[in-house]
Order: sequence, then structure tokens, then C-alpha cells
Amino acid sequence: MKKQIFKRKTIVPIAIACIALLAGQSCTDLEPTFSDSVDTSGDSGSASFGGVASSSASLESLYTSGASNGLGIYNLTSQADDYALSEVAADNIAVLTRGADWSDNGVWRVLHAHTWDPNHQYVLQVWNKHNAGLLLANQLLDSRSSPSAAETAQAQVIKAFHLYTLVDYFGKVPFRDLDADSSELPTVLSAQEAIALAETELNAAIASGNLSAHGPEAPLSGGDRATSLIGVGQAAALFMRARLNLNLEVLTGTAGDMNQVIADVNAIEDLGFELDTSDDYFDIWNLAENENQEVIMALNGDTRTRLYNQVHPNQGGWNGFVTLTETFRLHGTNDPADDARIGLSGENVDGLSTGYIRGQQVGPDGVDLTDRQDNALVYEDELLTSLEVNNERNGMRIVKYPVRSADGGLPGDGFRDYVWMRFTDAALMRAEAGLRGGSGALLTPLEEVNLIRARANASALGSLSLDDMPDILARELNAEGVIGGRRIAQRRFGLFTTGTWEMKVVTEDFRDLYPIPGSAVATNPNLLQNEGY
Amino acid sequence: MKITLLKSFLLLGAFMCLGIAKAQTVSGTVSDATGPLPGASVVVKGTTNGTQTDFDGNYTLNDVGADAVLTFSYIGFSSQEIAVNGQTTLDVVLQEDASELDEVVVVGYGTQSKRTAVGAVESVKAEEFNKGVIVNPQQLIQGKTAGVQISATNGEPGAAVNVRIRGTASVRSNNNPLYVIDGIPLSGANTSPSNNVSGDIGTTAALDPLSFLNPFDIASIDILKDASAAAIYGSRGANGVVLITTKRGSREGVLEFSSTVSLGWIQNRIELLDRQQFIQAQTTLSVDGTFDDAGGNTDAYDVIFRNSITTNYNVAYSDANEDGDYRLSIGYQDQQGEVENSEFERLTARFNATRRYFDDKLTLETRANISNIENQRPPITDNPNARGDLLSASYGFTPDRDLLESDTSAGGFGGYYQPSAERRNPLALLDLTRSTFSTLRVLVGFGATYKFTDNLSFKTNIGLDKSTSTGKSAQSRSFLSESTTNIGRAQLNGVKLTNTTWESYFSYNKGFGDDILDLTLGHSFQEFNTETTSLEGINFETTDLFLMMNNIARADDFAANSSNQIDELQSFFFRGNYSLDGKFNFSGTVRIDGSSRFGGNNKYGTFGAFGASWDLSQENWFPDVFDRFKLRAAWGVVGNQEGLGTNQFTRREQVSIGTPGGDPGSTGTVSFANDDLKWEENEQFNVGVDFGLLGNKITGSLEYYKRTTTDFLLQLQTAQPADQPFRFENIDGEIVNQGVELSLSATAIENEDFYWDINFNVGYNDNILQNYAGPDIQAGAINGPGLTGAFAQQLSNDQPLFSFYLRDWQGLDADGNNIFGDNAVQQFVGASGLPDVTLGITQNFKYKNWDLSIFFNGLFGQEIYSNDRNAFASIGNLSQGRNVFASVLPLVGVENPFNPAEVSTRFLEDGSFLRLQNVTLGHNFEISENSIFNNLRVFMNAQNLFVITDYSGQDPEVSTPRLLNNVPSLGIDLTAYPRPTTISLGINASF
Repeated sequence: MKKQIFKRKTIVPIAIACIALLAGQSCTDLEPTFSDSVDTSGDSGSASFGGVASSSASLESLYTSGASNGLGIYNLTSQADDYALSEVAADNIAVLTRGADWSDNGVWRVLHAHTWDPNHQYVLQVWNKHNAGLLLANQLLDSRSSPSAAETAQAQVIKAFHLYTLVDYFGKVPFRDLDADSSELPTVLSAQEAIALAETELNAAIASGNLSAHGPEAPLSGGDRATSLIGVGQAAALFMRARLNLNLEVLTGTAGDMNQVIADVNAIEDLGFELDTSDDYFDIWNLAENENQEVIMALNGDTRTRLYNQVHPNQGGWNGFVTLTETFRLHGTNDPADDARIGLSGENVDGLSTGYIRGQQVGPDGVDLTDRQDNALVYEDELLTSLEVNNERNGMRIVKYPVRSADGGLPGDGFRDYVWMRFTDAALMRAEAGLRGGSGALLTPLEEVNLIRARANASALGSLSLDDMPDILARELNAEGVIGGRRIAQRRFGLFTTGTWEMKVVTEDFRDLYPIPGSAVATNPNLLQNEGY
Repeated sequence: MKITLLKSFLLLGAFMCLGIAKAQTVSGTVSDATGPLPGASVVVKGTTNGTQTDFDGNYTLNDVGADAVLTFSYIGFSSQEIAVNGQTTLDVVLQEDASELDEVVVVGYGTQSKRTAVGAVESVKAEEFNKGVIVNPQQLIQGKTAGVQISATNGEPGAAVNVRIRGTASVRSNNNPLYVIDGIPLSGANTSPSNNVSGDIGTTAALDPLSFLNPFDIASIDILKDASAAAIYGSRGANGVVLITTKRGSREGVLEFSSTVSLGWIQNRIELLDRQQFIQAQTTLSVDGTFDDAGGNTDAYDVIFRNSITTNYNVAYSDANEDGDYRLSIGYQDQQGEVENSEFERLTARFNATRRYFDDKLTLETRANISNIENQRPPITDNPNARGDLLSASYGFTPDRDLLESDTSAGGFGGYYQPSAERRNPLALLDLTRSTFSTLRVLVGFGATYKFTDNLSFKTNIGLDKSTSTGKSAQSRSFLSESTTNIGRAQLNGVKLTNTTWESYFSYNKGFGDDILDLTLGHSFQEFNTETTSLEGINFETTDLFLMMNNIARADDFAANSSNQIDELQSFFFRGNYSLDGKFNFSGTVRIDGSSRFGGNNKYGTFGAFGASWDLSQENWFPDVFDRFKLRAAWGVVGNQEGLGTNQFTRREQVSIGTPGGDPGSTGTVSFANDDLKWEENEQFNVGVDFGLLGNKITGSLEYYKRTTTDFLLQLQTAQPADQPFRFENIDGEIVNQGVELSLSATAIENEDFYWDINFNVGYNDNILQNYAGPDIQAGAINGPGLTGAFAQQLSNDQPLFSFYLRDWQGLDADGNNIFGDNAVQQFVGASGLPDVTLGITQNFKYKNWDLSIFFNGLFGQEIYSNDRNAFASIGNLSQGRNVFASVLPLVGVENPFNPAEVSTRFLEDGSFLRLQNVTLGHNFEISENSIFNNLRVFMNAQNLFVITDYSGQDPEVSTPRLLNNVPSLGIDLTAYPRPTTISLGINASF
């Protein structure tokens, strides 16, 4: 009986305590914590947009971020992605498979031979990075992000660049409403709509007066990015608009305003930019010195991918990219009198020169180099015939960035000043706009081109027609790949698919556009695959 | 009350019959070798006076005559009869019956007799564990149970172990089961940082997080294979559950000591060209028929491989009495890897104690484990690029060169022959880089059980699992690579996990005649807190790796970051078992899981299972030849939330780490809104039969299962424009695993001197992805020279997971160039990295005091893509002046030296194998009465004596993680740390 009482007296409170324990445990609402991240969803639900956490940090991301395979524009220095799509697929550059090197599952070969499909890795990466960059720019420009006037102007230009690039490659642009649920599918802007949007943003930025109006003397970096050569200034915005108008017909089917192209290049000139005529032409790409008057905007990215991807391992390189021999031969003979200066080798540093690299290669000590099969390392002036089977010597190389390391070794993190927009490119746009009927230039197109030739010690041309422009552009801008690069220039002249060059036959028209990536079509039924794919 | 009354009457009757015998109360504990036995039956012989032991094996029996005999019995154990002789306390240790059908299995929040179990549950006891050099507890049960595939990813001490129970049910989530140690469910996270070696060398996955447990402390490992068993773990049970129970004190004052010394070596090395062969081959390949012999002579394997010594010591003291028990143990293992710079040193201490209070109503217990692991890892990585890691550098190093070279004009740099960043020197990799890790992990559980009545009890369990790990790496400025030359780099990476658990549940257990009702109802709360820190410094003047790691301020430029992720899990669970007539068993389970990883629309998920079994051998009409014949069937739905990660459903921003001296980190969106995000769901159906024949001389089980995963998680391409190229999504589609498992145990010979038994298990599994309408996803990244962007697998509808997607290589043409079928387009080739059949065969022999155990395991039907051969055994490599595998020799002069080594069926091989995994020969000494020993045993053990396989690589049991598009790979072999052969000598003694 006593036991019974004990039980009653103790069990009930203990049982209650146990149940209280159970109840006490159930204390979490399972809401996520944001201890290492910032919640940027809006007030009206998790799907809505509440403005970016920091407008300055988001603008910084538009320049630098490596997210989404590099949505920041500084990542344009990659040898893959944009550079591959605009240069390797065109008639200046090829990437040769050499035994155990550079096969890379065929990504380079199908680009050069125009046999790519919607699953091409770089097609997808280009699609992703420009779309992600576009979205971030849209988010930053949203009033809830409270961008400053200067941030707005820079973001507008970057947004226009992404819109332009997407239309250039794909002919359409998906658009996501910032407040829509993420499961809602983006709508699709036509090329005309997207380019109209790009023009609106560019016009607003240029007219706003909120872009830095610096000239070539602006610092390379440091301090405020907006006022340095690696930030978007007024001249960069003008360059962008000139490029857009020059290519408007290719992009939208409606001819662009050539007078505007000329006016924009004139405005760039008014800011102090001009052809660099100092002694060493290749100093244009030696920005560390920054003594030239030519560079409108540079990117703070790795320049080694424009040097080491070309030269042989015994020169410290990776030995994949070559320039087409036909492109080299555009320069004529080796006689400086009628050859453009880019056809000649520049100053020899540690055995490696700039310009077209050909003939017997030497090491830093001047000794003749061999390849890894003990053959003399000679880059021959011979037409290329195979993308797939090559020895280590095939192909001539083009290098514009001088080797800067003193000891001949690899230069480490030093190579970070990538020349993006330069005045010669702008001047050639002005000349072409003139040939396309534009007016407003002080110089005739022929005078403009002859100035560039004179700098290269090449003889003056007696006459100039629009048909001469593709070769003139190839001579001056080979391997640079800036804002559409060689590909859009070829498209402008109707040569990208119909043209033939080394290891490229005539291909079908539909390859003027790249396919929408297969996975993008699969994830968004609003996106129709481009015709032909 | 009625029953008590009835009992009283009966007792009274018995009392009257027995007359003069004086009645008394007897109490005590019934236990087995591993601990107390709940539910054991204690009956006064010849009467109906009896009781069952409680949850801690305790019993109290009233009205026992002083000269009565008590019968102690328990399913699966031999009964014991003990005369009371006036004693009031009788503690009994029951011996296990030979028949495994009667064993007790741990099932999560309780134990169950295998006889009444409805689910597919397997238990492996310490005696059956694999012996030898064992780091991770999973390896203890490799090959011991049907349908459970356990493979270390490579041969490194402590390397991650993949455990696949009944196939692979998830694409991107961790497919490992949930591990529960003494009732505490662990998080699946790694406790140490991965080994990230700068200088283009690559990254190796973190060591297995379970390596903190000392195998010596483990009493049993139970595996819950089907939904009926695993549903009690709800959203974490889809891959099965592995319950690890550690040893506790069970006898009075036992001191145990064990020690092994082991010798390991790499028996099967991939053959390379030697100096003469290399020079001959290069001479043949060169255009002018000459080769400039550098005059050196190097066998790279001499530099990187060694014979290893591993020592292991364990001491434990345990004690038990009527009020409780404890066990204290200390273990130390110092393991050398067979590759230089590879070391694993572990010190563990464990204290397990149980104590009962208030007439055994209250039981307090603690399980405390502390372990410290100091390890060094060599620069062997999962993703060496064209330039390579330690293994590929060894493959490629030219044997006509010496490793040391001080003359810079002859290619010397930092004193080593490093002619360019493209040419790696294995000795430089060993001497000029260093990675060490230190991991402390504490796992403490504290439990209190209160027994309200004999039938109802309440248990609360509080657990803390805390680990803190630091990885330090340095790469000297003398190491020639794009990111280290004249710079030098050092990294400090920290990982800190703090996981807390609080679980409480009621248990109700009551017998009604032959029927038994067993109910469990409870609540669980867990919080997982993961913190990481990382710091990288570059530009060091010093080349002293220790200074770089330990005084990182010697660097000029830094980048740093930290993170902190918190996940919460809250659950309610219920289980009801009913055993009818001792032959029908029914079980139903429900668990409701809420997780902070689930999106707002799916905060809670409900999981559950039900099942039934029927023991036909209890029926009169059933053939007598069967001692046991139990049919089981179960159906249920369980979940998997491992693949989710922390908060992938809210739009949020984070700043990423920058580059030292370069760009600062930039802000980016880490996830965006997806309120529908939830667990993967796994529907499982299981039918099986457990049988025993010929006096249980032959026992076994045969099962069929089908597991269907729906709503599986994929990281899909986001519909652009999007902040992120990928997003997590629950995908429509099904991953179906179905298969058959057979386990057989047979005692072939059993007499006084000689004993022979055979344990055989085989599992067949068929895997397919179906009704999947999403995009095909490239997977299985292939690395090596000229292989950027190459891949070998693809995820597609109507294909098994890990299906190879390759060009069809048909040989070489007259010019020595590749011939491919189908225009050299990659396509499915009807091969997958998944094995069809898993096999384990153990034979145990005993002759007098000698015993011998021989264990084979095998996997069949899987293919291996030799990324090693693709990357390092190509004629192109040889023509670039690198050394290659000897298998290239016949191609010299046949294959075009510039023929590219495309990803193709050329490098796909059959990976089936049968391995003599473990042989142990032991001798138990006869112990005389007055010896200080209770037990003394010496043994010799050999692991991995030979492998029968057609695979040409180092070892067919290999899988280098080759993640691509966030889809994992299986069956790709790339510079895997080689698997050693080991011989051990050991002694076990108890005092």
C-alpha cells in the first residue's frame, strides 16, 4: 500500500515533468538563420526582391565576380567562353590538337569547324555569364537597391554590354521580372527589344554626366575604380554605343546611325584619346608603363591567356592557340615598306618577341630551342590542314602582350592589365562608318586608315572601299576579341558562314547565331531554339 | 490488474503445494556479452512464477523458494538454470545461441528480437568484424551482409568510405546511410577540411568523418536496410541506417589489452617504362632516330612508395555490478601510409557508464568518446590537371633524369629537376609541399531512463558532438608552378562542427499471454552548426614549410573567409509493434520531420512504414525440417535530406573569398527563393524469408526489394537570367533500385575438436533512372593533358546512374590514328560504374585452440573508366617526353605519336573482382585456473593478399570523385592512392 502511495505521489509529477520535457524540446520554428549571409528577399514574400544588400558591392561584382563562370566583365580575359566564340570560330585564330594536348573533348575543333551543337560548354557558359551579369545589373538598377548616380551610370553601360552580347551570340534575351516567383519562367525579349533597351540605357548613362570623363592619363587602377582606366568612363560608354550602332543591322536588321558612330568616336577623341604613335607599338599592351594615349578601358584580368596559350612549353607556354597562316599572309611580304607593323616581330624579351612569332625559336640565352621530340622549334609559314592531328610546331603564333618577367620564368600574378577598348579600334569604326555613308569626321576613311598604316610603317593606300575593311580589321585587331571580336566583324560583312579559311568550309547560314544552350531550352519553354539547331 | 490477481492465485497455489519452502525475493541483472538483456524471461522452474527483465536487464522476482531453481531464457540465447540456494541476488550472463535468427538487433530507439522483426535488419557482432589494419568502422563489416556495398574510395589511411545499402538511390545527395552511434544520429558532414594543394596540384576529399571511432570500442553494428526498419529515422532514413553500439562493462573487473603490429606495402604497382625502355621508345619516336640521353637513372616509385609500419594498442577496463557498469578504454593507432608523407595517428579514449537508482527505476548512462587525429596527407589529389599530382608526376617523370639538379641552366630549380611548370618532379612535390591536419572530436551522450511501471518507461537523451579541425598546408616558392614559383603559398583551413541532440521518448511494452505489444512515442531535436575558416597567404621569402604554416604572417598578401551554417531538425515519431501468438508480427512506424533545410511550403514531412511477418515454422502443418521459416513483407516511405545543404530556398547574398594580393572578394547570390524545396522521397517495398534448417545448422534469408526515389534533388541549370547558373530542385522522375539478396550461414562440421562454418552473402541490384524528362547532364569529369572539359558519364532517362557516355573506339587505322564509330560522337555504351552483384564469403575453421578465418569479397558487373590510362598512358605523352605506363610500349611505332587520346571505350575496362580480403589465423592459449590471464590470444592477419580481376589499374575497388555539373561520378580511376597489402601480428589478452 505504501508503495502504491509512493507511486501515485511520484509518478504523476514525474510523468508531468517528462511531458513538459517533451514540450520544452519542441521549441524551434525551423526558420533559417542568416549568420553568414544577407537575406535579400523582399517584404512581400520570399520570392520578391528587396534590393541588393549593398549597391557598391554589387557594382564591384559586375566588374569582378567569378560567379556563374565569371559574370564580372574582368573575366572576359579568359581564353575560353567569349574569346572562343568570337575569335576561335572566326578566321583569325585556331586551337590545334597536338597529341596529348588541347584535344579538350573537341570543344575547340567544333568551334573552328562550325560544327558546334547546343550542348557546347562555352555556348552554355557565355549564355550563363551574360544573363547573370544582366540580372545583377537589373537588380542594382532597381530603385530598392538605392544605387548612387555614378553606380547607376556604370551599371547601365555594363547592362547594355550584356544585352548587346547576348543578341550578338543568340539573337534573343530572356528577361526575368525581379519580383516574380523564381519558378515563374522568364519571358523572352526579341533582338529588337533587347537592343532598344540597351540603347536606352546607354543614352541615359552618356547623357547623365555621371560617368567619369577621364582621358588616357587616368590612373590604371587604385583609388576609385570609376575614374580609373579599369572602370567604365564616358569614353567607354561612347565606344560601346559606337560598336552597337555600327553592328545594329547585324543585330536587329535595321541599319544603325553611322553619323552617331562617327560622333561618338569624335567625342572619345575629344576626351584626349588618340592613336599611340610612340616608338614601340607593343607598349599599347604594356599597360604597367601606361604611357600611351590609346587605351580607353582596360580589364583587371589575367593577360597570360593571350601569351602562354600560344607559345611552346619550352618557351613556358601551353602551345594550343595559333593564328591562321592566311591571316599572317594578309600582311604581304616581310618587307617593312609594304607590310603593316603588326606583321613584324617586336622587341625580343628573354628570347620571346611580340607580334607574329615565326621561324626558329630561341631561349632566354639565345640558344636555338627544340620541341619535345628534339626537332628544331620552328614555326613555319605553312597553311594549316588539320585541327585534330598536329605536331608541336605547326602554326604561327601571335602575341601582343610583351613578356615582362626578367628571369624568363612565368610571371606569376603580375600580368593583370588587359587592354579592352583602344582608340585604333574606335578609329577603324569611324572609318567604316564613313564608308557606310556616315559623316561628321574630320578625316576621310582613307586618311584614317592611312594614319594607322603610317604608324605601322606601311605604305599609304591610294583608295579604300568597304570591301577592303575586313582585311584591314584583321591586320590591326587580330587576336584581340573585343566586344564581339572578329566574329561580329565577319558577320557585318556577311563572311562568317559563307567565308572559307584554313580548316573551315562554307557553313549553313543558321550558324551566324549560336544555339540557345540545350539546358536553357529545357528549363524555359518560352525560349525557342534558334532556327537550324 | 486481472493478470496480477490471477498470478497471485497461482502463486498462492504454488505456495501451498510447496508447503514449507520459505519464500524470498530474488533480483539481479541478466546480460549477454555486450550488455544487459531487456525482456529476458526469468521463471521459477516448474512453476508459472516468472517475470521479464526490464530495459536494463534487471528483474525482481518475489516469492521464490530458497531451494528453487530459476530458469533464465531469452530468444537467441541458451537457457540457463541456476539454483537459488538462499541467494537474493543472481546476475546471469547468457550465452548466445548458434542460430543467428534469434539474435537481438538494435533498431533505433530500442532493440528488438530478430525473431519478431518485420523489417530487413542485419546485425554484425564484434566477433565477426574484419581484422587487421582498420581505420573506419564501416570497414569492420565490409562484405559481411548481403546487399551492402562498402568500399573505401582509395588506399589512403582514413580515406572516405562509400557505403551503399541496396544500390544508389540519389543522384547528387550523399548516398551514405545515416550513422547513429549509441542512439545519437550524426550529421553527414565532414569533420576535417579537404586537402587543397595549391600550385595546380589539386584537391583531395576530406578523410572519412567516422575515423574518429576506435573499432576496438564497438560491440555491434546493426544495419536497417528497408523502410520498415529505417522509417523511424524519417527524412534521413532513405539510404538505410547504420547503428553502431559501443561496448559497455558486462562482467566484474575485466582488464583487456590488445595490440597489433602491421607491415604494409603496395603489391600491385602500375608498371612504367624503365630507363632502357624509355630511351629505346624515345629513340624510335624521334624524327632523326636519336635521343639525347640525360644520363640519369630514376625509378620514381622508389621515391614515393615505402613499406609501412602500423602499430595499434588498446587497453580497456570494465566492471559491472547490480547497480550498473562502466567501461574505460584508451586506444592508439599510429599508421603509416605506403606513400611517403602519409601518416595517420589516432588517440581515442572512451568512457561508457550506466547506473541504476531508486529500485532500478531510474537509469543514468553516459557514452563519452574523445578522439584526436593527427594526420599528414601526400599531394595525391582527386583532380590533378595536365600538370599532375604526386602519382602522375611519378608516372611521367623521365627515367633518364635524376631528381636532384642544382644547375638552373640544366632545368634545376630549387635544387630539383623542374624544367617547367608542365613537368613535375615527384621528389619536389614531396619535399616542397606539406599538408597536415589535426582533428579533435568529442561525442558525448547522456541518457536518463525512468521506469514508471514494469511496462512504461521514459527516456531522454542529450548528445553533444563537437569536432574542431585545422588543416595546414604550404607550397614552397621553390616549387615550380604557375601559382607558387618565387611566391610560395600557405593555407590554414578550419572546420568546426557543433551538433546537439535532444531526444525523448516513451516506451510501452506489455505481454498479453503469447502476445506482446511494444509502443514507442517520442520527439527529437537536433541542431547542426558548421563553421569554417580559411586563410591563404602568398609571397613568402622563406622556403621553410613549417615556418610558412606556423607563422603565416611571413606572407605579404592574404585572403580570408569564414562561414557559419546552422541547420535544425525537429521530429516526432511513433512505432507500434504487435506480436500475435508468437508467430504473427505487425509493425507500424510514423515519423514527422521538420527541417530548416526545407522550403516554406514543406517545413514538415511525414514518413512511415508498416509491415508484417508470419513465422510459418510455428504452424503444425509446416515441414519439420525447418526450424524457422518466417515470411516478411514491408512497405514504407522514407526520405533523404542530405543533398539539400543549408537554406537553398531564400534569396540571399554572400561575399566570396578573394585572391591574395589580387581581387577582393565579391558579393554574390548564393541561393534564391524556392519555397517548394524539400527532401527526396524513397518508397521501399521489401519481401523476405528468414529460414533455419537441420537444427539451425543452415540459416539464411532471401529477400526481394524495390526502392523508388522520387522528387530527387538535382542542381539544375536555372532558367536564365538568374543569379546563379544552378539551382536545387526536386525533380520529377524515378530512380529505381531493385534486387535480390541471399544470405546463407551453414555449419558444415561441428564436433569437439573441429568446427567449420561458411557464411555466404550475395546481392544483385539493378538500377535505372526512369520517367525523367529533365535535361541530360554531363558527368564524370576526365582530367589530364588535352582533356580539359572532357567527361565520361551522362545522366539520362532510361539509363542507370553513372552510365558511361563515350566514343566508340574501334582501333587504329593504317596511319596509327583513331577509328571511331558513329562519327566519333559520344554515346551510351551500355556500361555503368555500378556493380550488379556484391559478394562476401567468410569461412571460419576451428581446430582445438586454433582458428582460421578466410574472407573473400567481390563486386561484379561494374565498369571502370581508367582516366589514368587516358591521361598518362597515351603515346602523345610519350612523344612529349614524359614517361608512360609500360602498356604503351607495343604502340610505339604503331600509333601516330600525335594521335589524341580522346575519351572513348578504349579506356573502359571491366572492373569485376574477387579479393581475398582478410585471412586471420589465431590461437587461444589454454588458461589455467591460477593464471593471471582470463584469456590470451595471438593472431596473424593478412589483408588484401590477392585480387582476381581483369582490370589493368592498380586496384579495381576504386572511385575517384569526379564531380561535374554537381553530379557525382562512380567508377573513374584517376591517381587514386594505391591500396596496400598488409600483414599484421596481434595479441589480445584479458585479465
